[in-house]
Amino acid sequence: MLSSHGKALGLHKHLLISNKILRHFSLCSSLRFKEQQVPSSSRIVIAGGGVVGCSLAYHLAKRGVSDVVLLEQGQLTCGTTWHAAGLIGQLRGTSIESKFSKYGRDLYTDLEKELGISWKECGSLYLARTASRMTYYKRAFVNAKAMGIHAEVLSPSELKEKCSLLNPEGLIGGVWVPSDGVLSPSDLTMAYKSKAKQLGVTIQEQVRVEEIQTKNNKVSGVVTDKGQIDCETFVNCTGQWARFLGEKSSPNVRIPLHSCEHFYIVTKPFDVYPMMPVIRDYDGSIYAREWSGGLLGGCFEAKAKPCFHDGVPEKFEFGLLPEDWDHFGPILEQLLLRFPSLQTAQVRKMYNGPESFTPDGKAILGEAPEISNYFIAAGMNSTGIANSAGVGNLISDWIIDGDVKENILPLDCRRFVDLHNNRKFLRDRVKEIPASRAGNIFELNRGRKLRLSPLYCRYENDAKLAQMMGYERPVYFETTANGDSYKLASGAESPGCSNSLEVPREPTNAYKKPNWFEKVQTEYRACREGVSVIDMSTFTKFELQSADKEVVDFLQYVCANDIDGEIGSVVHTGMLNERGGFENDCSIIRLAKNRFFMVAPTTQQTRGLAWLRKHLPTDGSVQVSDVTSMYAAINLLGPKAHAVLSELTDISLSSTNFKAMSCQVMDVGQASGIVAMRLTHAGEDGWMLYVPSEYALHVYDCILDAGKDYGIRNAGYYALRTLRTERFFAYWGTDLSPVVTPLECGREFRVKFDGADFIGKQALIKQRKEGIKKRLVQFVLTDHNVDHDIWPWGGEPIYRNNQLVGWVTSAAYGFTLKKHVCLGFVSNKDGKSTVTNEFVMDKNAKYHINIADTHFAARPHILPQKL
Amino acid sequence: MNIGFRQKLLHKLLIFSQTRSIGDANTNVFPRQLFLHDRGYVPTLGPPEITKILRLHESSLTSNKRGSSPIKGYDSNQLNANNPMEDRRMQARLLNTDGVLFGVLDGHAGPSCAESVSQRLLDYIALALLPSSKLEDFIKRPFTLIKEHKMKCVQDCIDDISSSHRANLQKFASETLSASDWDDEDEDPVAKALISAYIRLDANIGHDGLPKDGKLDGESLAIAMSGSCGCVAHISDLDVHVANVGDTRGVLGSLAADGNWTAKILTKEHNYDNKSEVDRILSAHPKSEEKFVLRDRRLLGQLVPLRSFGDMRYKWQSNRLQEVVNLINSPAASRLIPPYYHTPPYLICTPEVGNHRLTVRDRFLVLASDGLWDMLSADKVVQIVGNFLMGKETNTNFELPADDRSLLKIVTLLKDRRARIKHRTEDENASTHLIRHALGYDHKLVSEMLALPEDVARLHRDDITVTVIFFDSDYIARKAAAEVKNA
Repeated sequence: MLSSHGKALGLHKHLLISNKILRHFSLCSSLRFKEQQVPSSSRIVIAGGGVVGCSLAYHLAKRGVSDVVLLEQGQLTCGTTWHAAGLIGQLRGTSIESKFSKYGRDLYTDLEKELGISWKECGSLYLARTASRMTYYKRAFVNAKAMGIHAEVLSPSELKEKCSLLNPEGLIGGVWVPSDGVLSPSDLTMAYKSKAKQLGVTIQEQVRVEEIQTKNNKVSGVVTDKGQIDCETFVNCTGQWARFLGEKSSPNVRIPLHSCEHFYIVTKPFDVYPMMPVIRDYDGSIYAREWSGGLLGGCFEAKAKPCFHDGVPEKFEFGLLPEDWDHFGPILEQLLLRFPSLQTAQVRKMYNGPESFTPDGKAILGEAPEISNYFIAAGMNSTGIANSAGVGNLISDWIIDGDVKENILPLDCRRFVDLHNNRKFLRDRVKEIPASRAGNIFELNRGRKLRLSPLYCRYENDAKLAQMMGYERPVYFETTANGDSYKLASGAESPGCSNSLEVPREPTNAYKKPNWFEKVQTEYRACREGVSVIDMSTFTKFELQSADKEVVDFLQYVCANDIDGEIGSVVHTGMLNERGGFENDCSIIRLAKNRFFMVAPTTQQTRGLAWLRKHLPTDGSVQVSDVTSMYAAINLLGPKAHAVLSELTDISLSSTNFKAMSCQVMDVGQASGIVAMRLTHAGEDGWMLYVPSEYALHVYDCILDAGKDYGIRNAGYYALRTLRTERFFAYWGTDLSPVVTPLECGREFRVKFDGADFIGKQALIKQRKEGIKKRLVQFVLTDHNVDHDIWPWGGEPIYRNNQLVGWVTSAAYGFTLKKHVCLGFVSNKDGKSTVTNEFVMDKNAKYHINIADTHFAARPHILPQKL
Repeated sequence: MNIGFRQKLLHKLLIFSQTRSIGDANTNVFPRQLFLHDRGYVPTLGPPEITKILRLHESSLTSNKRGSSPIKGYDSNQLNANNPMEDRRMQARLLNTDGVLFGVLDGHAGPSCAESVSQRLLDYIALALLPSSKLEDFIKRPFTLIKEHKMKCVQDCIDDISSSHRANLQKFASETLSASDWDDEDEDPVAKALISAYIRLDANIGHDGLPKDGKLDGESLAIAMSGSCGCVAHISDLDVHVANVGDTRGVLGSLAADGNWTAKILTKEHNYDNKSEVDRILSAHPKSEEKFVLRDRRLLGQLVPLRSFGDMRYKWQSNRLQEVVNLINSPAASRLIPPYYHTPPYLICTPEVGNHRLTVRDRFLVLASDGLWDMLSADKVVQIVGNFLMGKETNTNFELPADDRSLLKIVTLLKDRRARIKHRTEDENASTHLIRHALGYDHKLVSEMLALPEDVARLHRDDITVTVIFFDSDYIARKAAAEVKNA
């Protein structure tokens, strides 16, 4: 009955579409469209026959799921795959990308043996013109080595030996990765295709996806111009079409990407030998490889040219954009500088093929927050070929297992809010992305100051801002000792890696002590010894309520900690997945019997809400609303916070009347309705004040006024990070992720093992019995010189008795400990054996952290130190 | 003459003689901000609105027979401050002799004179250029002298050429023919023709304005009493002549060997700044009048240009002028006779003619009314048009060279292009681009200038008319080489 209803519905829609098409193409026979030319049902439908879609089809089939239909509107590879340069490099900016590349490279050599994909293991040279670039490579290099990728640092003359065409002038060195290579993107796609077909996947070309149907916010089918397909899961792998396809469902799916023109030239054959290594000279914004006896030279230009703002033209199959030699001119000069013999080479063709780019230069992967079983694998930022294997592998696991074994938060499609999908924003932002991918732009300046705290106008002249979820927050303040502010250069955001903004990149002090060091020290001292305010308005805020106790039951089910406390209680808790890993790390505040306020990290605004909605009772008895924009959040912290706040309120703030980890709705100054909690996320005494936006300036002004005689000052997120890292507070996104359980980070005390059932409880019980296989450890670097050595910034490998045991997840200089402090995971024997406290703290264990190819001794701690 | 017309004419003439301010460098310092302050708010025009206004009277022509003429084409445009617009422009091909004519007229005290000159002057010039044999033909049976390229006019043009115009031409032809026996061999025939056409047309304007049988013709009087400056360029193969009366100007733009643009002014301005002009006028009148002939930088304290078409108030004998005043029969009319009007004529319409032989370095000629020249120097104008041309060359996509596609060659070409690309503008028409610069270029300034209400606008800017004629340096090079060879 149900299925016949579904079919009737499908037919109805089908007719509508036929009519629509007929209006456009009156010559076409309507019969052609009425005929069902696609399977009427399939477990999984993939849209997009580029390298990513085909890889996913293959990986699903490899895991035994072959009830898959892949639909391509034109021909396979006809979008952007066919004109890709086909470079496979393993020296990547983030560990997840390095893992993708390594997995891919291994798969490609296998496919080469089996089917032939024109794989050529010619190696790669990564050239450095500055010390800063060299450090940048070295950091990637130690990661690659830790993963078993062979790499060597070479001198300019050694570089020349590897590639005779190279002019080493102006280079200070480079990195040689012999196992890198190149392949033919079309051959690779066809290899995926034939493997997938062999395993039973259906691949159909010339089928256009018109609509993704949903039932109860879950994928139910796909309407195409050749008929309707019932399905459980839909995957959008349509590359530069993905954003527009995202609008073809109800609700719309947010896939923020924008096409840019992307250029390379190919010369006629000259003296380029087939095994010439791939050259990446990021300082000159260029790369090059051998191509049919000539050279293929391309770029990561400083200001890319966005295109297809209003949509990709119809029938853009194997399409190229017009040549733009004026745009390519400066790149050509760099190519000629690096390869002098190019001067006499004759140009064969310029390729201007569009590529899609995303707001932070990272791929968009995972299950859409808007619709269950709607997966996305798009926005490859011109690394689709190298990443295709890794992405296909990851998404197939995700679909089949329901979650992933890796921390892919940086690539998670739930890292966006609506502003990221604004087309004008995208068009502006993507201009910077190719250069940021090459490490030539560290601070994105386009699409800034869009989402600002109500307090922004009070510190706009002296706060250095960073963007998080599109929301600007102060990271430190440019204020002199007597309170005068310096005039600031414009603020900026880091592309990608959450902690790369603060990293100095000047050629002389790359990755070393930054110029904000003294400023943050001042703010840190104010927090620890006096009083300061931190604007934390970017925090995610939700309100949850129900008529009866449904909301209590719901929260007990999604939270690992016991939230059923008295009214006014504040509970820190994780929300876990079935495997016990963190899906959220938040505070739950009980405002009334059946009403809760929830505070979560800034980056969880979309992700956190999607997680809650996914588990809400279907009867609608619990209401969740996102009130992030309704409140400013002022963190008033430090030993004198009590005295300052006392002057502004009539209630008693004594520790008996206003206990730590409790909440009261109170008046501050002449404003009312401030949700005040006695906690600071920094280990200091103080209050988080959630102030209705319209009162925010008044409350802030009152605090600064009252605090004046107590030496109050503004502080930013860097000070907070130092405070929490020193105190060994794990943070969401860096230390905590879906692959970390409370037991692995010392948060067992926040798990209600004896209380109500909650998601992940069984996994935790099992883990408690069997023991953990990794443990978050705090390390203090004992022989690191803060003034001269390269700093750890996160991502550095940790060695125990010269064996790789894990990676640093966050790092900061501890102003009290007077040493660098790193948090990172320690595993045992490749993660196969349990990690006990004894193992970690073994007197004979010697720990080192490798920072850009230098080992620093590290002292482990499994408990917070007394400061 | 009806009363309304009479009053309008008087008003125009009298207001003009009292407040005529444009062209007087000092009055450009009128505090615009003061006006803004008084108004409190003046609407700002958006960039597309501005472009629309500026482009309203664009006109241009590109030769479709490239390589057969020294002229590649022209860009012309006008922007009015007065309502009605008092500037005029003309362009025509000579049908009976080689060459083309371009003209820019800047009327004052109303558009009548400029309008009339715009319709008649090119015929006079064409006629004056005719060889004797053709003149004879013309006297026997008049024929069409020029083919005009009509440009968009700010005001509706009166299109009918009066029968008196035809009669005047016939007469002019006869007299030119009879005078041709007196031709001086050394005289430049083109210059001579231009001069005689200017003088003859002005004489006819004066004659037409006089009362006939004790009656005034309002139309003709308006033409005679208002005035116009004007320059006309005659371009025949490599020879360029520019005739001028008053403060309109012709300026040649050339690209020097060092890559810089240089300006050559082909006309002299007839105003108080021109010392020889001042001397000429002073010496033409008794010493007793010295203090009155030129006062406040103006002729008889009233007129800024020191030569012009029309303006018969400064040309007619006193008794004739008095006769006209009597016939107008209005108390205010007596003020038409300038004070200290003792030894007329005070004003002439004899043009000075500049000439130039085109070289490969010459790229364009700018003819414009003083509305432009008051705002921009000749050097600046040439610089702006020169840059405009460089930018415009890059509007088409870079094409790979056909012969040598080596990357070095391509890089070299691209570097050269990059230097030009920075001069790209949104304007497609060089004259529009010049007008934009004349208004201040910066969006805010241009908007302020254009948003001013009419009555205020004319205090800040004058009507602007610009025609830029582009030369084909390939043709010139070929021609010049051939001449060297022949010599």
